[in-house]
Amino acid sequence: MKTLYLFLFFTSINFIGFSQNKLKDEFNYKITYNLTYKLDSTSLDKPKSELMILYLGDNLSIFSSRAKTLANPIVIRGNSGHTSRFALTKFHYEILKDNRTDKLYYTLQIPKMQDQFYYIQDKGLFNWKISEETKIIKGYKVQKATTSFAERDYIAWFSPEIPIAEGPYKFNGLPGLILEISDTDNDYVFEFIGLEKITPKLPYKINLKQYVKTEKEELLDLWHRYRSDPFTYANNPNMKISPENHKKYLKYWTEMLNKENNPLELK
Amino acid sequence: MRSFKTYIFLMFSLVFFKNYSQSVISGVINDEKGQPLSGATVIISKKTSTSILAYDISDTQGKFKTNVKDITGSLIFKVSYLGYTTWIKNIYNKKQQLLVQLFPSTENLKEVFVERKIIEQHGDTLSFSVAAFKDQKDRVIADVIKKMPGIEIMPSGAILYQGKPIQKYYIEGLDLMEGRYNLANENISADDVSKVQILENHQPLKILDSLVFSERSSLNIKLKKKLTISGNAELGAGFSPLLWKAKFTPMLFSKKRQAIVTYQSNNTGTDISRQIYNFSSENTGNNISIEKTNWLSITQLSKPPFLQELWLDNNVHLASVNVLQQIKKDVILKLNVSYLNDFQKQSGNSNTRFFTPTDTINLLENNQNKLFTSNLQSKLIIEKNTKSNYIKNNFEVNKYWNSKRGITQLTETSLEQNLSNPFIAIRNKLQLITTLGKQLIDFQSNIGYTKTNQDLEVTPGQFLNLLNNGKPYSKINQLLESTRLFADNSASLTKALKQFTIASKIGFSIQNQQLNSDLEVFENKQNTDLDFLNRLDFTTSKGYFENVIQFKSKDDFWKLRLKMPISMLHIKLEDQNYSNNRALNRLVFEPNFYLKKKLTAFWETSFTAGLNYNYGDVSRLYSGFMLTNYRNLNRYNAPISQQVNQIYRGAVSYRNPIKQIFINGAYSFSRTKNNLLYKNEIDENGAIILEAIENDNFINYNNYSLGGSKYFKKIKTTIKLNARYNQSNQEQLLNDTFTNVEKNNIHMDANLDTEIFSWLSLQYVAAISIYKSSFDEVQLRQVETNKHVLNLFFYLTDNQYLKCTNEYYRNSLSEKNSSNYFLNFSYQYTFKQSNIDLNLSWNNVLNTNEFVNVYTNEFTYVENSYKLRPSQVLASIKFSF
Repeated sequence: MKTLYLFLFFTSINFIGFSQNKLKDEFNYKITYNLTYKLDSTSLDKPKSELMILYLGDNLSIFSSRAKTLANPIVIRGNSGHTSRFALTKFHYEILKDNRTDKLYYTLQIPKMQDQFYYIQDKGLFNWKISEETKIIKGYKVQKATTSFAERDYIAWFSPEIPIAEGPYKFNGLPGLILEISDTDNDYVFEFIGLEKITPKLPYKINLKQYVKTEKEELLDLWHRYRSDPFTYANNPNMKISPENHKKYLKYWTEMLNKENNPLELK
Repeated sequence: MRSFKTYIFLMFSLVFFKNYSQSVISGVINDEKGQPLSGATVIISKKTSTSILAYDISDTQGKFKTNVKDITGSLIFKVSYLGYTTWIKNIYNKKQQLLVQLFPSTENLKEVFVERKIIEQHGDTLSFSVAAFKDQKDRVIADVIKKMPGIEIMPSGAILYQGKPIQKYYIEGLDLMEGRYNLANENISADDVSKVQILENHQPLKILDSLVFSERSSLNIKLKKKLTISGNAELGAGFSPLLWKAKFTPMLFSKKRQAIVTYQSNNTGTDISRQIYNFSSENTGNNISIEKTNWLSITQLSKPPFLQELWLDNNVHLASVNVLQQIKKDVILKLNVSYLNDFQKQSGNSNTRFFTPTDTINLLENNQNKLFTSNLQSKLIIEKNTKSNYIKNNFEVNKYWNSKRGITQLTETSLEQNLSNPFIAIRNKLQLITTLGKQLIDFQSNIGYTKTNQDLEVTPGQFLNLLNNGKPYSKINQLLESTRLFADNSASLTKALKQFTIASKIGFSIQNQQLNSDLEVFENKQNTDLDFLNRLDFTTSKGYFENVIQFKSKDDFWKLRLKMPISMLHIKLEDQNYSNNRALNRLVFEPNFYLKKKLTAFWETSFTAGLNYNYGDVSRLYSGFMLTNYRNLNRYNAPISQQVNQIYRGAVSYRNPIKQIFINGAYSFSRTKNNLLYKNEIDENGAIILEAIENDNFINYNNYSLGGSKYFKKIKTTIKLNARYNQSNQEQLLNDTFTNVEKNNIHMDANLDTEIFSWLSLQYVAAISIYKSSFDEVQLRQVETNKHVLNLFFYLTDNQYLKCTNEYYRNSLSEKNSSNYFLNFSYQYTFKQSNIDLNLSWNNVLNTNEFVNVYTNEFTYVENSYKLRPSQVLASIKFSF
């Protein structure tokens, strides 16, 4: 009888928790960008680079590092399943843009852990100024536009030939896909390197109920806390560490964190 | 976005109203079926140039709205949508509404393919040249590896690649070190290494390659020279009395042969016997073990629950040789031989109080024990790792020559106990993975033999009434011989079907155990009657078929596991004493169910339910009396024991990483049904005669636990609180009276971890335990123990730190010495240039003499005091060569 009650208890919890937090779509295009970045302002001569992917569907787009898409089992099926040195990532976010609601979801998973977070922003973050300058990128005619965002000025090149108001990172809202965008200091440079049609379409689903809703500042603070001391953050009772070792780790982590002082969004 | 833009345009229109003409051009975009198209781009440009005057993106209703601030009379109006033909029209620059219908087109976007070589480097070996990363101050290979991209070395020595621990650490493709790669990593000179290779997604078993995806990476060290020798050493000395500590570990690496040799010795209380075991970790599950069974014992002292260096009086020597040899391309041979010799002394008092329904008996003992351990362990592994099959054969021989000597001082008399318990174990384990059609099959075989001859001699003789008609006699001698032979063979396969994984295993195991024991009473040296000897032959055979189904939902919200092992069990017991031989045939089904459900991002619940059976444990089957120690005489003159266990567990956890609050709660209940009841007969000297009688009885066990923690960011402090409550009840037969024994145990602890300054951190633990037991109406006195630990860590500079530990123990039962306090210091200095560690420690600063420990049983209180090592100072130095 006890068992039966427990069972009823568990099933009932399941129903109470149900709500509309699911976003889904089918992706039909995959855009690849090469991101060259200078996360460490103390060694600006040594930019690093990483491949970033933008998946496009009719209503939803998702932008993340290629390493993240490889680690994601939903996307892995189309891949051989092998990761490469490019699976190493500094960018753990996934940015979803929803046309239907004009909302932007910035999601973040703490690496190696179950903790997942997101915050919502309005998609219309950008006030673009379109200029008449044009050029050709990989056979596509692109036109110049400029904007300011989070304390940096950007020059973007979008192609009216690709009628999708999308772009890398949070950028969007131009009458054509942004193929290239960089800040005026060239700290973050997104360059277009590939566009593929996905056949059959790649189904995608995300349940935001698994994610903790938070605010941008709160998430930044949390990320900083995680990076500066993952042990205390994780709070795993099975993970025992002696204080003197913990001290050594802290020193090491602080050094690592100090090398990440130049994020894309300065504010 | 649109609203924002409209707002801006409105502003512009207000400001520039007089200068510019304002044309609001709006409309709706539909598809071929007349349904609105959202996300279409609308561009309005000048006829003469590409300059864009206005643009918009259609909303969910297909609507758009643009504001042209230009005086040009004619405009180009363009609507595009991916997969549809672009709509272009020349329009006048005036306010107007347009209805646009788009039709699908077969034209696709021009694809741009990413160069293959950039992306597909899978199965690739990343190779780092050591020369490129090494600089002058790097001495050992770990210093260089640390700097390679993607690699992190944790202070514990664990190597992470891309945040995940590496799976194997190969040297020239050979895995000698297994889990202990730290030793090689911190000792091989950087100058000896030419390259470090990262094998990504490395599957160590070649047969599984490309079938079972590996997420983990391995690391391979390529050496410059054909032969490399390195190693490390640690030396220490102290007082008083004279203390020493030595550890010397040379290593040898070549392309085909590798070896690690170690010699260690100390009398500082450091336990090095574990060093032998962690050498190779094996992942095989429910193996029949070859652990030593101690049937007989001398009076034991319970060991203090803290730092061994404070109480272990030892004199240990350990030598170990590990050799790896590559025989053929895919075949390697590993040999591991270790010899350990230890002499330990224990001394202490114990006061045991027995409570019977009618009486209370006090027993005071003073024990002086000497333990001699000498054992040889050897292991030979042959491993063949090819594309078509994987074979690993593991042959082990362990031999122990152990003996114990104890002198026990009772209130009026004293007695001497001598125990010799040599033991030998031989085992062969074989694992074979091969393909059968498209399916991988894993065969496992485990065959072994163990033998022990145990001999306990107690002077003068005990149990006078039972053994010698109440007359004193000089000596009692318990002889025992036990052999065990077993074989367990199984085959298993695993299949994955969408979200389900099904693993099946079929196997057969057989185990035969023989037990002969004799009890000799001197002087009349004759063997006593049948009641005091055993000739037992016990065989268990089992055919089993196990299926495990696992389910994991796509969104990770549900996890489910169902184990369904079915086994056919046959047990046969031949016993010369017992008139009719005992046998048992059973078909056993032991299901186990586990469910985990993530409720929200914060909450998670899990539930487990299981049923299992236990039949016939030979250590509780003998029907003739056996003297297991000087005051315990046991026999189980009853049918084969049968146990049915039910267990249920429910847990809820809350994890809020934002607020850094974590809470766990769990409840578990288990119920065991036994067919045998154990009868305890306690005489006025505290001697116990234990017998089993047939009588169904139940043990119920309830366990509640609750724990939580919170991190306070501003003061860099973590506080943890835990509480546990256990309650159990069972029936027992005590001095011929049926009693219902109930035990209650409450445990609570609080932890505080804080960083006061960057150079000082503090750790504080407080714990309280309360034991309460009762039988029938009789409540036994409640026992309470407290523990407080305060540790202080001073980080004086980068390369030196000082640790101060304080421990305080108290119990409510002891009349004298009910509390103990300890203080220890330890200081470490690292010479940065030469990588030499200097350590100074001063243990038991206050020279506390003994530790008093209290515990309760069903019907006893035991108060133990254990003699500690005196205040001692030790200096040691660690370096590598």
